[in-house]
Amino acid sequence: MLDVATGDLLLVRFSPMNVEKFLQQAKDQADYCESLGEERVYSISTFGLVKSDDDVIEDLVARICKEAPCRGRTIWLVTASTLREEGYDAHLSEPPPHHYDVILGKELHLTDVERVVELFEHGRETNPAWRTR
Amino acid sequence: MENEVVIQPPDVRIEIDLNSRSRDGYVLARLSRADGPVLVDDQVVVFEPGDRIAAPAHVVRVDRARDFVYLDVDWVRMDDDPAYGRSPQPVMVGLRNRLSNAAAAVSMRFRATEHIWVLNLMEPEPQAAIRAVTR
Repeated sequence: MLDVATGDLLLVRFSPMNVEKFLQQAKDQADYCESLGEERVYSISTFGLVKSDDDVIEDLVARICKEAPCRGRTIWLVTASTLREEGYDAHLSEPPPHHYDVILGKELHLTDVERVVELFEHGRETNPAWRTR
Repeated sequence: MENEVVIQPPDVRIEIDLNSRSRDGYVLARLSRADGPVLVDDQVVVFEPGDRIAAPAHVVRVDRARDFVYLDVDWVRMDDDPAYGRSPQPVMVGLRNRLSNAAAAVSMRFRATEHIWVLNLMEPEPQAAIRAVTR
């Protein structure tokens, strides 16, 4: 399981997880911004929670998967600090609860998408809440 | 109408990204990824092929100009996709299969595109046999 420092944001991404689908979602999100009369921003949707002192990682993951209005067989984990080191910020975008956008920027570059997929791919897990609620 | 058979086409299927949300919390998907016509208040099936899962969803809004559909997904019912691995079956193919099982009917009522269509099987003139009615 991933190592998460207290105060860091743990992000959970449900399927899909590949470059083609990330490119598609980033474009969809930018189109959606434009439809709202806003500037085009390319982003990837995730869910997350900040780790507190007494949180056990496994419990935090289970809580995100249980409380987020989302359900899938597989999840991928990454911390916001890991993303930030590579130049990508995660912005809270509720509703729904615990929803975050990972910002790729105002332009879409294949290298960004490939890097973000790579960062998530290391944290592949089975969703602990799958078939349990 | 007497001897009218109402044909219920199979639910339209829409591929989604499980994570994607609109600002008001609904699942945001592209209308062009639906395999059939979609109207507000329709019940559809959303699916994610990587995880091989699917769930029923309610169509909350449709933005045809921008190619978006807003979906209220029944997450509790998200489960294995029974259609995974089958050849895609467009809605009209499913409809044709159901029509073939209704041979005794005088007329049939079904929905395709944005209209309900009534097919009068007793009408010899093809162009007069089918008419669209508003929903």
